[in-house]
This record gives sequence, structure tokens and C-alpha cells, in this order.
Amino acid sequence: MNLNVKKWAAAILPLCLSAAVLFSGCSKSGTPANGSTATVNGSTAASTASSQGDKYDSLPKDVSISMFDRGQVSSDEGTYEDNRWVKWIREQSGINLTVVPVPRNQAQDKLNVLIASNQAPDLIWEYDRNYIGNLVSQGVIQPLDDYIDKYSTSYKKYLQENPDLKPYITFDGKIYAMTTRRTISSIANHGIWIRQDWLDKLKLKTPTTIEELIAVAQAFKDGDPDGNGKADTVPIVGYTTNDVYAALFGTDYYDWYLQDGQMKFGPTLDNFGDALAAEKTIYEQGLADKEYFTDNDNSRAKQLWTTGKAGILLGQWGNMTTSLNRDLLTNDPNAKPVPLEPVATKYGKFGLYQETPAYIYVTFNKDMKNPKAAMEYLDWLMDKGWFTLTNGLEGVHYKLANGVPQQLDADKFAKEVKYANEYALLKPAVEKPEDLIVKAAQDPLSQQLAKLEADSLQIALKNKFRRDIPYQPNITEINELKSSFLKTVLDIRAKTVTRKDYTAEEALADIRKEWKRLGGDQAEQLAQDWYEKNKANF
Amino acid sequence: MESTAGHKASIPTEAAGLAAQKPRWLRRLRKDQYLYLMLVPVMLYFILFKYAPLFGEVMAFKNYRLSEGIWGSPWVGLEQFRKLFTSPDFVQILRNTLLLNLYNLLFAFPVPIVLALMLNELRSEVYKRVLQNLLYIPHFMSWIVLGSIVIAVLSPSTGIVNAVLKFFGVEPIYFMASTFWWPISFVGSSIWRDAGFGTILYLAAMASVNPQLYEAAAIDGASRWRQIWHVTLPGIRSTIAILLVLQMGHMMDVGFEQVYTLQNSAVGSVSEVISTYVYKRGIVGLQYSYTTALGLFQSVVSLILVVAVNRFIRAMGERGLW
Repeated sequence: MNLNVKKWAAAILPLCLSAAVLFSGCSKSGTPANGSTATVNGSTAASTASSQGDKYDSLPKDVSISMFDRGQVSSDEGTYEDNRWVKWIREQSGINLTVVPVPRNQAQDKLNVLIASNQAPDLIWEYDRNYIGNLVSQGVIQPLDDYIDKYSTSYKKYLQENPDLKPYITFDGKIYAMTTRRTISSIANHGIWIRQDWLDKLKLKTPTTIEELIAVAQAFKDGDPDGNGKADTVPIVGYTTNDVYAALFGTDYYDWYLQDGQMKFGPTLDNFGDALAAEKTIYEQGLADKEYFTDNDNSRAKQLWTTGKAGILLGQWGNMTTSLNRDLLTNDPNAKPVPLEPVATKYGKFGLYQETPAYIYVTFNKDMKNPKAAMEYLDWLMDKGWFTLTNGLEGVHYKLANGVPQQLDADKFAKEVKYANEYALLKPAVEKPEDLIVKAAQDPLSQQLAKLEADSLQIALKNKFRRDIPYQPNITEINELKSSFLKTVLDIRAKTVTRKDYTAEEALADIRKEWKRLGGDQAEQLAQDWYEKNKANF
Repeated sequence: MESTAGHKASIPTEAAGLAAQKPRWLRRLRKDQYLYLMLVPVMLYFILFKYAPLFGEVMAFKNYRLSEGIWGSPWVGLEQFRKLFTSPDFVQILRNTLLLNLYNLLFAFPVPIVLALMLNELRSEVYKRVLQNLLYIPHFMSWIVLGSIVIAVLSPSTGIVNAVLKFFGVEPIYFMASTFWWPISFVGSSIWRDAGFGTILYLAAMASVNPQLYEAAAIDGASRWRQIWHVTLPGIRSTIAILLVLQMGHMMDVGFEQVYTLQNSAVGSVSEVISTYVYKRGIVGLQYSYTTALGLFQSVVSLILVVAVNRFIRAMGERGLW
């Protein structure tokens, strides 16, 4: 018996110890989650402090910002939190900057979690005005009018010179965000590309209407344009597919439109039914990759395009598409991808998706410690920071050619500078399509791609994306309705396209029925009231 | 160690002396103090990570705004629940959640039992171990990886399944985008990942069946089948019962990762379940209170199910969970 007790004690002691160690580790990592309950008290204390004069001078100049983690920082460059540019910013601006990265494709929910657990950075930014609107309704960011007035010089001046940006950053009559004007290359977004060499080979004309586009796709399918003797080409692939079809017909999935002076929601328009019908036709005739509904990361579309198995790409004018084209041209130097002007439909000719003039929306966390330092940082970005963060260091990454920074080495630039672009939250840059060619590195492939990009940019901007009102209403009821309705619309769209026994007319009728059921009439009324109240500013 | 033993030894006399004053539980605590000490970390874990967050459920009765926090947000009573029960989404996601779990119960739940029976009959110990390990492996891979594999394997143009179908002259099927095939693929993927791992408990239970019972059955002339039916299965009956109760606890809950990686807009009407809906509306869409109400509803129904099934099983004469 005694022996047993001894044995027990000997066995238990180390167990307990290790359990204690384990547990203390757990509780440490557990505190933030638990700390969310303490949010309330902390926040009110901080906001009362911020209303008093210039006590900020005595505070350390610490500012934290959110950052989209796009996985572009290579391991020898460091991380999004710590790399040459973050060090450079600290040295040059005199602000002790902390970077809080969030994964790009889950940026909003990650930010929401950070905010809810009181760990959000001082400066929170997004490209999406609706999201900023949500933050305003949730009361987590603060108005900036006073700060801009008191602490800013450069941005204050910029805003006075660009008064048309004001409506975008104003919510409930107060300025809640800071933004700069987009350069033309970031206004344009979506774009269509077509293989000119395939058109030439099959002696086809460049399509200008949706019917011609379908006919060309059919020819690509049947005519063996890659000449390998097998019917293995996929005419149409893409990663912006649904938006492109909708835009061609002058509507989209997310926005309000004016139809005879009445506010109507994009998917409920006749245009949307016709866009669905076109997508259905293309899918049923086997003119698009059959599997794009499960191609969640677009890897199939990218693979088909870069290996020269696809003829038409619904993508962007540049950006991702340029890297795809680079791979395509590396795989097959004889390929000739060219930008295709959006084709006309029975509603006329519309541009593909384009952004509103406002670039990144930078907002101030309600709980931030030192708004003065943040303002100082943003002013510094406006004055000097943005240029280097966009172009790199002179003599190392670029040289000036006619005042336009020209890349010295495409690979070096891609590795060392490209990821820094979004650290420049505010960017008072002006740009012309020709600049793209001057800017690019001098190797033949980069030049070829830059020329294509310049053409593409011009084509992308030639037609206007249909936008009946310059910015969308931010009304809680409408936002809630939109988020559940979008799911319905995407479901119905997929059903229409993949199911033979379900026509686009039925789909449109179902969409309208769902819209009514979810409270669409009331939303239309709210939107109409909003329009009447705001139309003077448009 | 000497002193510990001496201390222990002195307890009985002391305890006898104080028996009148000290309550029984305290004496027991004293007696098994080291065993209870071992329990402390686990209890703390449950208090910190399972009970403390329950406090957050009050959000379901409030209109939670981030800036006001959980206490500061206004009370709205049952408003969130009213909104939830009248929402057209609610019926759909509840139906999907229950259906997917029902399929899992009907088709995935028996698979580990059958597998365990088969493994148990294997003669070669080496072969059995190798096979067992191969069956476990998918369980240790994340759904993110397995999801892409499932989508690739079932792809109509490049997937192996459709290649086989094509060989037999069947038209390729777009499994992941068909509302008929998606739930089947879903259950199939669950079986693939977890059935092998699920055999562990059953095999352990089978190992504890008294070998004399098999000998006796063999002497009475029972075939292999008869032995399985009359000896093995009754031997693991209580294990099956316990696992069934546990499974019922998950009736209202479909693992988020599995659904999220496998779903797409073409099958939204059959694949949207409570967990993915809570993520999309609550965390992405900032409707915290609304989705907390949904989560609370889910938990309450789960609790009722577990209690009910436990009663049922005890009524059948098995030992339940409690």
C-alpha cells in the first residue's frame, strides 16, 4: 500500500507540473479572446481624453496601421510587419509605425474581429466605401473634421483643391475618412482579353457585339485555333466573369440604378435578366470552362489562359492579368493576347467595372491614442512618402526619364518594391497611359507587356461603367437586405446557368419575387428618399 | 517522498478524530487530493474557454454595436429571435443543417463499425496495422487541403471519377455544382476523412470482448458471421450507444471548414448551414446579435437532443452519458 502511494506521488508530480506549464501557456494566448468583454470601459476612457487640446505633444509618436497581406513579401525581404520599407518609414517620418497585416481575401472579417476584441490598429483602411459606412454605423471610427483642421497642412490643402472627393468621405455630414484621387490606372479595373493570333488564324473579325463574341467563341471551340489537332480549347475563361457579363448589359450585383427617376437595385433590372441569358447561352454551348463555379481560387482559369488553352479572358485590364500574360508569353512567345473593347448589347455599349475616383479610405479608430501623430504621418505620406513607396529608391530601383520614374530591373522591382505600394495610403499622383511604357523596365518582355497595358488601359477607360449615382446610400436596413439578397442572387445565377430546365426569364421573376419578399419595396423607398435628399450634391 | 508517505499514513488517525466536525466531501477531497489536483487544469480550461464565453450569449437579447460593447448595447428582448424565425433564410439553413447531419447519421455513422468489424477479422497483424494507419491518415489533414482534393477528384473534365465514368460511357457529372450530388459528395468526403479514425474506439471495445465467448460460440458450431452477430456486436453495443449520443449533440452543427471549402454558389440552396451562415452574416456582415441568437437557438436544440437520446438509450438498458 505504502509503496503504491509513493509510486502515485512520483507519477503525479511531474504530470501536475507539466499540466501547470501547459495551462499557463494556454491562458496567455487566451487572454485576448477573453479581453473582448473589457472593450467597453477602455474605449470610453480613451475617447474622452481625445477631446482635450494638444496634450498629444507629450505622447510618444506611435501609430499603428492595418495592411492587406497579399503574400507578396518574400521571406528574405521580411514580413509585412517588418521589412525595409517599414524601417524606412520609421526613419524618414519620425513616426514609430506598427503594421497589423490582415489577409487580403478575408480583410473585412479579420478587421471586424480585431475591432471587436479591441485590438484594431489606429488607422483602419479599405477600398470599399460600404465597409467604411458599416464602421460608421457601428461607431468604431471617429469624425476627422477637427483633426484635419487643426493638425493637417498637406491633406487640408489637398482637400480644398479636390472638393469633389468630399462626398465620398462624408457620412452623416461629417468627414470620417481620408482619401486621395485614384490615378487612371487604378480607376480602370476589369478588362477583356482575346488571342489576336487565334482570330487571325481562323480569319475572324474582332467581335463588337455580344452575338459576334459568341460566334467567335464558337469558332474558337470548333476551329482548333492552337493547331494541336485536338478539340481541347476552352473559348472563354475568367476570374471576373459574373461582373463582366452584368456590366456589358449595364447593370451589376451590388449597386442602385436610376430607372426613369426611380431607384432600382441592379439585379432586379431587365438588364440583369438578359445578362443571365447571355451567360447561360455561353455556358450551355460549351463556350466557357464548365467548372468555373467550383473554381474558387480561379486556378483553372489562370492555368487555361497561361498554357494557351483559352481564347478569351474575362479579367482585369492589367494587374493580375498582366502577370498571367507574362506567363502566357513566357510559355508561348508567339501568343498575341490583346485587350478587347467591351462588346455592345441591346442596351448599348458600357464599360466594364471601374472604380469611383476615391482611392483608399483611411479612417481613425475611435480609441486611438495619438491622432496628431497619425495626421503628421499621413501628411508626410502625402508630401514625400508615397513616391518612394510606389517607385522605390532612385538609382536602386528606378531612374527618372522625362520626370517619370523608370524601373531599372523588373524582377528586382517586383521583389523589393511592389509590396510597398499599399503602405502609401494617400497618394496624390497623376498619371497618363503612356507613362506605363516609360515606367516599365527595359527588357523586351516588360516593354511588350507595358505596351499591351497602355492599350488596355485606354480601351478600359473608353467606355464608362454604368453608374447612375456617384456613390451608394449607406443605410443600415439596405445594407442588411443587400447582404442576404446577394446570396440569393448568386444562387439563382448559378442555377440559371447550370440548369437546362430553368430559363433566365424564370430566374429574373424569381429574383424579383425574392427581392419583394425580403423587403425590397421598403428598401426602394428608403433609397428613393436618400436620392431626393442628396441629388443636389451629385 | 518519505515525508509524503508519512503524512499520508497519519491521515486515518487524524481523520477519525475529526470525523464528527469535517464534512464528508472535505475528507474525500483530502484523501484524493492529488487526483483532484490533476483535475484542476481541465476544470480551469472548461471554465475559461467553455463557460466564461457563455456570458457573450447576452448579445442575443441586445442590439450589439461594436462601439458600445456587450454591456453598453441596448436591450431588445426577443427582437433578434423574431427576426430570425421570420427570416426566409432560417428555414433553409435549418433544413440543410439537419439534412446533412441526418445523412451523416444514416450513412457515415455505421461505416466505422463495419470497418472495425472487418479489421477485427483480419488474421495478419502486420497487414491490419498498415491498413489501419492508412485509413487514419486523411483524418490528420485539414479540410482546406482535403476540400481541394475532393473538388479535383470530382472535376468533370480532369477528375478521376469522371474519367472512370467516361470509360463506361457515362456522361461526365458536375458533382460539386449539382444540388443532387453535392450532399452525396459531402457525406462521402466525411466518410473518407473520419471513418478510419472512428474505428479506434470500436477496435478497443472489441479487444476487450472475452475470448472465451468466441471459443464457446465456436464449440457450439457458430460460423464467423454468427460470432460477429452474437458476440462482437453485443460486445460493442454500449460503445455504439455512447457515440450515438455524442453524435446527436452535433445534430445542429455542421463543421464549418468542411462545408465552407466544399460549397459554392451553384449549390447554395443545399449547402448553406448554420455555421457558414453565422460566419457570413455575423462576422463578415457585422450582424453579431442576430447570429448570436441563431447560435443560441442551435445550442438549445442540441442540448434537448442530447438529453432526449440519452434518456432513450438508458431506457433501452444501456449506460448513457450520465
